[in-house]
Formats: sequence, C-alpha cells, structure tokens
Amino acid sequence: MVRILHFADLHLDRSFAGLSVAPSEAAKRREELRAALRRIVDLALQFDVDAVTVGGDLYEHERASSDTGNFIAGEFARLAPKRVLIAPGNHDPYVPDSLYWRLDWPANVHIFQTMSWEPVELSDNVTLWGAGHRGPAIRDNLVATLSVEPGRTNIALLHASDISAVPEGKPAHCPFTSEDIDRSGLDFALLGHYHELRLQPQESPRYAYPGSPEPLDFGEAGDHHVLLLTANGAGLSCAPHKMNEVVYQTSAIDITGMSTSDAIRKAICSLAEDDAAARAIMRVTLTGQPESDLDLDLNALLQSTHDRFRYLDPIIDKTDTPFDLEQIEEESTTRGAFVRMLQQQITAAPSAELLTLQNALYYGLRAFAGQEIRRR
Amino acid sequence: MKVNRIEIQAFGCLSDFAEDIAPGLHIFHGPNESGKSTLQQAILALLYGFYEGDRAKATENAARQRFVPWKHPRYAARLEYELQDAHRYRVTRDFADEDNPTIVYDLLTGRTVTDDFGRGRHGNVPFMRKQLGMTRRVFESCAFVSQGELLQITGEGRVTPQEMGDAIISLADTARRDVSAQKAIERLSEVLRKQVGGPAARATPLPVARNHLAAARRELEDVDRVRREIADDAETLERTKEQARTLEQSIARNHYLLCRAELGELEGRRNRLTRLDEQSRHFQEQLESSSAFADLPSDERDELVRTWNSVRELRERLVNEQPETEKQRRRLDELTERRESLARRENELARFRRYPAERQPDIDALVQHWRRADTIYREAKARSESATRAAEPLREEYDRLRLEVGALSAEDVRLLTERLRSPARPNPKQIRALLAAPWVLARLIGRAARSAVRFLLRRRATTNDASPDEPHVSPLASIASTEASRLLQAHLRYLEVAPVVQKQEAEQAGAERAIIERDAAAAQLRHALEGLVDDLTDLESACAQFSARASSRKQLDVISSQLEALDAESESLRETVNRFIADGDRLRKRESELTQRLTAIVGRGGTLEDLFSAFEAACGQHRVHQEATRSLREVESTRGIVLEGRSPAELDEMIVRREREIAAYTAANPSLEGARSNANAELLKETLAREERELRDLELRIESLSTRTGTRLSGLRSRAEVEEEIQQHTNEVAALEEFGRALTVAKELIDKAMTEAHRDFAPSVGRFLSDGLSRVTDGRYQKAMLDPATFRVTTEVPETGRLVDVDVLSQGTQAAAYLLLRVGLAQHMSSMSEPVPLLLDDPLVDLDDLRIDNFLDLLLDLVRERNLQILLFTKDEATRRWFERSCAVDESCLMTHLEPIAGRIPVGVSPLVQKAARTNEQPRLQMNGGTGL
Repeated sequence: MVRILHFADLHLDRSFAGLSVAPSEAAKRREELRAALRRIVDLALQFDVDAVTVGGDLYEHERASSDTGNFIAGEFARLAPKRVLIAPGNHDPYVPDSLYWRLDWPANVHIFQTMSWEPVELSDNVTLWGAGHRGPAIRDNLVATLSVEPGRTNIALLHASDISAVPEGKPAHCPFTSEDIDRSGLDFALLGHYHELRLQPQESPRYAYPGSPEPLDFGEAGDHHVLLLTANGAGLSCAPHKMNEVVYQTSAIDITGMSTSDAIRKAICSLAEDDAAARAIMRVTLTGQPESDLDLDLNALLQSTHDRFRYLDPIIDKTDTPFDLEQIEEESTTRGAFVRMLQQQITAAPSAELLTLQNALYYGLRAFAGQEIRRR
Repeated sequence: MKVNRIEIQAFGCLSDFAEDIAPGLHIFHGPNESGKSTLQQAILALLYGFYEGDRAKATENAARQRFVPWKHPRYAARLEYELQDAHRYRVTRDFADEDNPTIVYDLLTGRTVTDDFGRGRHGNVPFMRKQLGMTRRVFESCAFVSQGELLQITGEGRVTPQEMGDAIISLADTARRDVSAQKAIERLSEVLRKQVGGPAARATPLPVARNHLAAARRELEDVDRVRREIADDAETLERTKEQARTLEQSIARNHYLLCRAELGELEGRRNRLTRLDEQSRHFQEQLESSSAFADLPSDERDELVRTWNSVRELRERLVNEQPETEKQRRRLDELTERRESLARRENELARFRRYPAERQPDIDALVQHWRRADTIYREAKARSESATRAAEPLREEYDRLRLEVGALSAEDVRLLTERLRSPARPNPKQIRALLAAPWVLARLIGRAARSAVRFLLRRRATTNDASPDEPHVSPLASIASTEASRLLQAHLRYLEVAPVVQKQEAEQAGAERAIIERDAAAAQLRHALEGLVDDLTDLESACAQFSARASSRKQLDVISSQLEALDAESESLRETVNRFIADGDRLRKRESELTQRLTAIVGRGGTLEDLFSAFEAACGQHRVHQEATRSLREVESTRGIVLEGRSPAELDEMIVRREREIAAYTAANPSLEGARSNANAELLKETLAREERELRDLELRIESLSTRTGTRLSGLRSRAEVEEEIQQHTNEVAALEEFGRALTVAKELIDKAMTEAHRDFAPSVGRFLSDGLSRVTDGRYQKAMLDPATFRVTTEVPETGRLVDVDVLSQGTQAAAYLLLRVGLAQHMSSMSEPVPLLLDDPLVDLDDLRIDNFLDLLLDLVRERNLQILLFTKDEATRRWFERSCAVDESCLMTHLEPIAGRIPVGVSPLVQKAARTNEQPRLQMNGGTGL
C-alpha cells in the first residue's frame, strides 16, 4: 500500500495587492500560508504517508525570497526519508533563478525539472510520473504526450488546467481534457492549478485538484483541502482533508430604516456573533436606503467594529442616495435644477462615468444640505 | 410662510388690535382712516423691523416715528407665523424703546430662538432674511404693494433690477433656508482643496498619495531590477557550474595523460642512461690514446698561429709593395732635383718679393684709360686735320658770303623770291636750275630761312634799338630783281659753304678737348706709377717696366707654391719608402722570434714552415685529448641530469609506480583508456596547473554567485509587500481622483444650475404676466414680456400686433400689468423657496369692476393652487362683493371689516393683559382675535 499526501497552490510569498486588506494583514496572511505548510508536513508525519506530492505553485517565483526557499527546504527536510515530489507550476516554474534551481534541496526532495514525463518508483508496483513547468506560460498539452504501460499503478503529478474548467478570459496552462487522462492509461492524476477542491468525476475520481490549502481571496470562500491518496491492491482512493484555518466571508447589511450609526454598528457587530468570525476575513457591504439625516461615517464604523473580527475589510457603501430625488427634482430651486441635470446625465452616461455622476449627485446634495462631505 | 395672527398694542393709529389671519386670502375692508395701511405697515415692521444696520438712519428713524401711537403709551406688537415645514414662530417687537427689543419665540419647542438668527442693534434680528430668503427691500418690491406705489418696483428706496435679480438667484439658490448654492460650491471647493488637493498644494491628500505611489513604484523597480540581476546571476552561476564540471573532467583526463607522459619520459631516461654509459666508455679510450699531448701549451697556439699568420701576411705585402716602392723612390729623386732648380730661380726673383703686385689692376685700368684717351685724341686729330684740309680753300669765300648774305632771313628770301617773280622775270636758266634741283632748292631755302632769321634778328635788334615805335619796312621790298637774283644766288652759295667751314671748326674744337683728356689720363697714370718704375719720362716704357716687374713678382709666387707642393709630395714619398724599409726590418725580427719558439716547442729544427706544420700536428692530438676529457665530463653531467639525483634503481621504481597509477586511472574511468595527447609532460603540467587555477577561480566564483543570489534581496522589502503598497496607493489615488472628479462635476453642475435659475426667472415671470394679463383683460392682451434689466413690461397690442411698453397703455392696464408683475415675482420666489405672503394695499383702484373681478379670481386661484397667502387691504365695494360672491364659504379666506379709527373701541383686552404686554412677558399676551366691529 502506498499513501500519498497531495497539495498544491499554496502560493507562498503571494501578494495580496488584489485585495484591499491592510499591509499588516497581508503580511499576516503570508505567515499563515507558511503555517499551512507546517500543518501539511505535520499531517504527513501524522498519517505516515509514503510521499508528499506538490502540484505546483508552491510559491510565487516573482516574489519568493531565499528565506522562503530555506523555509520550504527546512519543512520538507522534516519529512525525510519520506519523499517529497514537486511538479513546478506556472507560478513557480523551474527556471535558473528559481528557488528550485538555486537552493540546495534536501535529499528526500525530488523536483521534476523538465517538461518530459519522468517516472519515479514509489513502490514495487506504483509509479509516479511527473513533469514540471519550465516557464510561466506553458500551453502544451503534456497529458496527451503520456502513455503508460498497464499492469502497474500509474499516477501523474502535474500542474495543469482542465479545459472544461478554465474561467472565461483566463489562459490555460498545460491544458488537458478528461479524455487525455483516459487515453494516457493513468490510474490517477494529482493536479494543481485551480484553487477549489475538484474531484473528477465526483463519485469515482480519476484526477483531482486539492485546491489551495488556504483561501487566497474573497472569491475562495468555504473550506480548503489537501488530498490523501491511497493505492492498494483494491485500487485507488482519494480523500480530501480540510486544511484551512482562515475563511473569507462577505456580508451585506441593508440599512434601510436604520436612523443612527449606532444601529448600523450593532448590525455589523451582530455578524461577529458567528463562530467563524474569529477566523474570518470579513468584508461588509452596506446596502439599502439610508435615512436622510443619517451621518454615515464608514471609517468611524470600521474603527468601532473591526476588533470583533479576525480582520474586517474597509466597509463598502453601496447604499442608495438618502435624498428624495423625485421631490427635489420638482423644486424650482438651484438644487432642483442640479438634480435634474445630473439625473439627465446619469441616464445618458456610459457605465464608466456612472459612478462619478452618482457620487457627484451625492456630494452635491450633501453640500446643499450643509452636511459633512466624506469620500464614499 | 403664512401669517397666523397679529396683535397690536399700539402702532400708529391702531391700538389694542388682534386678528387671526386667514391662511389663504384675507381681505381687510374698510373706509379711509380705518387703519388698513397702518396694519400693513405694522406687519412689515414686525417682520423686518425698522432698521437694517447697526447704525440707525434718519429715514429709518423717521419711519419709526411715523407710527408712534397717538394715544397709547405702549408702542409694541406681535405676530405669529408658520413656515412651510410647519415650524411656528411668534415675534414680539417693542418699538417704543430705541433699541427696539425683539423676541423670536419657537411655538413648537417653546424656546426663544432670537439668538439663533444673530442679534443686531435696533431690533435688527434677521430671522425673515434667513427664513424667507429675502431682504426687506426685496420683500417690499415684490410682495408688499402699498398705496400709490404699484408702479414703483424700482426707484428710490426700492431695489434696482440687478438687486432684484440677485434676490431671485439667491432664492433659487436656496435649497435650505440658510444654505445657498454658492455656499454649497464653496463647501465642495473646500472639500476638494482639503480632502483631494492638487499639484499646487503638495501636502494635500492626492499629491501625497501620488508621491507615495511613485516612491512605491520606484521601490518595485528596484526590487525587479535586483531580481533580474539575480536571474542573470543564476544563469551565470549555472554556466559557471557547467564550466567547472567540464574543467574537472578535463583535469582528470590531463592527469591520466600526464601519468602516461611521465611514464614515457622515465622510460626515455632509462634508455638515454644506457646510451650515455656507452659514450663514456668511448671517450675514455680517446683520452688514453692522446695522453702524450696532454701538456702541449695549447694556450699559446692561438698567439703562435696569429704570429705565423702575421709573418706570412707581412711577407706577402712586402713582396707586393716592392715595385711600387722602387718607383716612388725614383720619383723622390726627381723631385729633389727639380726643387733645387726652382730654389735657384726663387733666389733670383727674391728682390721682387716686396713689389706691390696687388696694385696691378689699378695700374692696368689707368693704362687702359690713358691708352683710350690717346686713341681718341689721335682720331680727333686726324678728323680735324681732314676737315681743315677740306675747309681751307672755302674759308675766304665763306667769310665774304657770311658778311653779305649770312644774315638773310626766310622772310628776306621770300621777298627776294617774290621780287624775282613779279617785275622782273627771273633768269630762265636760274629757274631751270632751281626747278631741276628742287631738293637743292629746298635745302637752300631751309638754310636761307635759318640765315634770314639770324639776319632779321640782328636787323630787328638794331632797328628796335633805333626806333621801336616805327613801323618796320624791309629794304628788300624795294630791291631790284637782278640784285635779288644775285643775292639769292649768293645766299645759296653761302648755304653750301657754311657747313664745311663750320664742321672744320667743330672738329678742331673736339681735337682740342681730346688732347686735354689724354693729358689728364697720362697725369693720373704717371702719378700711379710714381715709385714703381725707375723713369716716368716715357710712359710707354714706364708701363712696360711696371708690367715686367709685376710679372716677376707673380712668377716668384708661382715658384714658391711649386716648391711647397714639391716638398709635400717628397715628404709623402719619403714616408712610404721609410715605412717599407721599417716593415722589412720587422719581418725579419718576427721570423727569428717565431723560429726560436717553435723550435723550443716541437723540439727540433728546420724551416719556419716545417716547424709550424709539426706544431699544428701536435696541437691536433692535444685537441683530441681535450675533447675526450670534455665529452666525458658532459656525459657524466648528462647522466646526473637524467637521473635527477636518483639512482638508476630509483628510476626503475618510479616507472613501476607510474604504471600502477595509469592502471588506477583507467580503472576509475574506463573512457580514458587509450586517451592520447600530443602534449608532453611539461605542457600537460602547465595545462593542469592552469586548469586547476581556473577551477579554483570557478569554485570561488560559484561560491560568490551563490552567496550573492542568496543575499541580494536581503536589504529590500519583499515584492509582495511593495506590490500591496502600490495597489494601496493606486487605489487611494484612484479614489481621490474619483472623489475629485465627482466634486468637480458637482461644483460645475451647481454653478450651471445657478445660471439656469437666473436664466429662467424672466421667462417664468413673463409667462405669469401673459397669462394673468390675458385673464384680467378678458383676453385683450395675451402676450406680455418682462425685461429683467429694467423691469419694464411690454405687451402685444391686438390691433397692431406690435409689442409696446405698458406705460403707453391705459392707467388701468398699467396697474393690472404691474400688479401682476409684483404678484408674479412673489409667486416665482415662492416657488423657489419659502412662500411669500402678499400684502396688497388698495392695488385695484385703477381697475374697472370686471378687471377687479378677474384679478381677484386670479388671486384666489393662486391661493388655492399655489398655496399662497394674500392679505388685501381695500376700501373697494366691488372687492367686498366679489368676496361675498366667490369665497364666502371658503375656510381659507376671510374678510375683516375695519371701521374708522375714531369710532373704534378695543375689545377683549383686559388691563391685566395690557400690563403683561408692557412688561414683555410671554405668553401672557393673549388677545382675542379681532373680528372687527
């Protein structure tokens, strides 16, 4: 029996620039990714697996430091003599200045350095075939080039895109189809690239993406996993194991009818009553129709509520305008004329200018009302 | 705004008056002197007070004085009003006090809010300006129509059109009563300036965010640059490692090849050693065979050979030089003989040694000069003598002719010729002679002319001397022709003879000059030769003597120089001859010495040639001995070099060791088996040393590159952090720019809305005017327009279709138009802000009943449709009838009848209340509404 712990897309040293999180939170998040690797190694030791496989994107080549490389090497050294097999991906390709190339890796670590399939015998009758990306944009179908002899258990390790799941507008790396897996004669393919768990087919999987062990942005809500693959005489079994400690959570609060900031603050705080809040990176969006005399100070709200959560992202104001525009439009005042003009422009404006015009309406009416003008 | 109630303690003619005001149309109807206008003014005074500034103006004081109560001691009143937002206020003013104490009381909150509006002096609390949005002057100009002022919208004490326009804009700007659009723009501008900012204010958020963003981008560029350098280093490192690997393989191969080369070399040494042993034995044999000549003084050989060679060379040279030497010796004898001859001659000429031969050129020049002068003299003398011989026979005739006709002028000749032509014919023979020789005649005429000239000149001179004033008459004019002929012939002869004689005279003179010059030259020559010759008597012989002496002197110089040349040549010849003799002596001496030395060396006698041959043979044997000795030493030396301090046995051991090493190399790397190289061991060693150096360098470089790639990023932040910071700043900049754009759009649109509000005012009021005038005049005037610059109203006359100023129409139409203008303005302002109550005092006096009804219908519609409040003060019965007919049952309308003041008795005001009013206590003043009497 051979047991493999497979993970992928850890993205160590990732930049969280795409999120609006504070720099301190981003640094904390990077540390949490390292902690995830520690937990994975601990899990491998706990399960006493025969090998750990990495389906690429272990780190981000453009951002990774030697310190991270040494950290990875140190963690993998803890697994010795258990083998660690790494198939570099598009974010951590095997290139001369990569950590894979530059650093001295422990003897138990094997890195697939070429885009040709390389077999590694895991036991008498289990072979693991691996290949690594040699650049950040490999468009070749490597799976289609693999053809294994039957009679042994053949497992592939690769960072590749299942064509059927490529998001629109995103490029495919080492694209393949399920038919390519079938034709190759493989018994199973341990993959990496997509950040959510994917077992294909669900009931009797032939290939699997474990997803990222920790979610990386608000689009990756829910649990995240590593895979435990067992090969024995009866065949192969693949079981996901929950791994993430942090969750990304998005909530919307309808503030219609809330006449004070305190009511909104309480509504936000009520979100923290959930158990998951303590490990949630929370993003709150305010919606609805605010009261006209409600002084909505988002920064003050954030300051008064953020300590209830593991992290609370700056609160997003998507509320409707608090002014009765229809009534104001009827006014024979400058304010009425202002609203009429802006409403006309908003109706005819391209989407790129819509936000500016809506904000102009909001700021202008607040100025007319003598209210404090804050950036939305 | 709507007035709810008014209470007057005393104001002008009114006292103890109280009235609830209808929310719509309230008509105060009464005859003259019933206090209608006073009530209207009281409302105005309650709303705006009498004073606008802190300093009371005379006109304002006069207005206040105008309404000082006639009898009542308490000059005070109060008014309750309600705003559109349902807020209700009560204002109480005490006009008796100079400071006009004023209290504004919020009836909803029960709070005095006077201070909320700012309190000025003289009761100047601008609550109306803030709540109604217009000044007293604007209010009076549109909503307050007093008697006789209907047509005076503008003018003294009233607003200007510009002021009214500003008031309208101000009202249009009012979104809330205390916030204008301009303030909104200012607020937006302030937010834009403080919360966004621009390039001019570097400390404002947007420039700061942009600076942060630029700094973060620069940092990212640094990080990327370092990462690129790391990538380059990594590639270099990989190449270097590959080079090191290649070099290690090359070193292993070269070690193998070196072992093979060393083995080959050792084997070569061993072979060479064998050959050297054989050579040693050979040279030993040679040494033994030539040992007899070992002591030959071979060191003298070179000298002896040189001496022998020099002897032979000297011999050859003397043999070769002997004929020439003999020849030179003979020549020397010749020269000696010649010298003696020349020496004798030199002695002979020795006396001329001091003779100044250097003067010869000068003497020669003088001699030549003298000879030339003598030659010239001789030639001149010969010519003179020849001329004398030619002239001698003609001398006498010449003298005679000269005296007779020598003085004839050309004129004389002409006269004589004319004499010949005219009276007396000339002698044909003469004429023919003359004609036959015209050239003779011409020459004679010329001579005659010249002679005649001289003659006439002489005559004229004598004549002039005699009598200068007398007219000159030539005597020839009267001469006879024969005589003339004779004279002419004489004259011709004279012309022939005269040149001969005159030439003789000239030649003779030339000869005389030549002899003088010749004598001068002779004198110079003689002077020059003085002292140089013995006798100067005969110059020719003196010159000859001088030449002879000079020649001798020159000859002496020649001889002297010849002697010198002879001496020089003789000396040279003598040296040659002497050298030849000396060489012969030296040869003999050397031969003798050489013979002695060779005899001593070879140990026998003989000719010099024999002796030298024997010596050479001995030397050959000596050389053989020496060569063998040297070769033997060299062999020994080479053997030592080959063995390099080892014994032959040790050499054999080394060979065995190399063979084992080679076996070990090929065992470790079978591919080396059979590897060959043309390089020798030294070259291989050099190559190995170089490669090992290179390998060390590469290893150092690998270590350096490894260290560098591992540490280069250590001083920089992680790229992820910098990217996040860039994103943060980018978001901030984008948000600020978006904020700025939105604020700017808001500002611009508010500004545009203000412009639009201003632009809309005139058309809006114009439309109201058109509709109102049409309605009041039963459709006669359907179109009216307002000039916002002058507030003049024009309307279209139906008969002509032309627009005319309403001032040219009837009084009633004018009144209707301007009343409508006031109401229109008030209505327009009410639509933009707080509704303005209209206070109209008898505005319809100029309208006929029909137009009054139409106008009141219009007002009623405004009340009902626009929710306006209108307070109409009138004495007009038609109005009263209209009210009773049209709105008697309308709860929003009310009519109060006022009686003349003289007949009025205040009701419902108790003394207690009056006292409370005097002490300004609230809200004790509870006067019942006056319903009129």
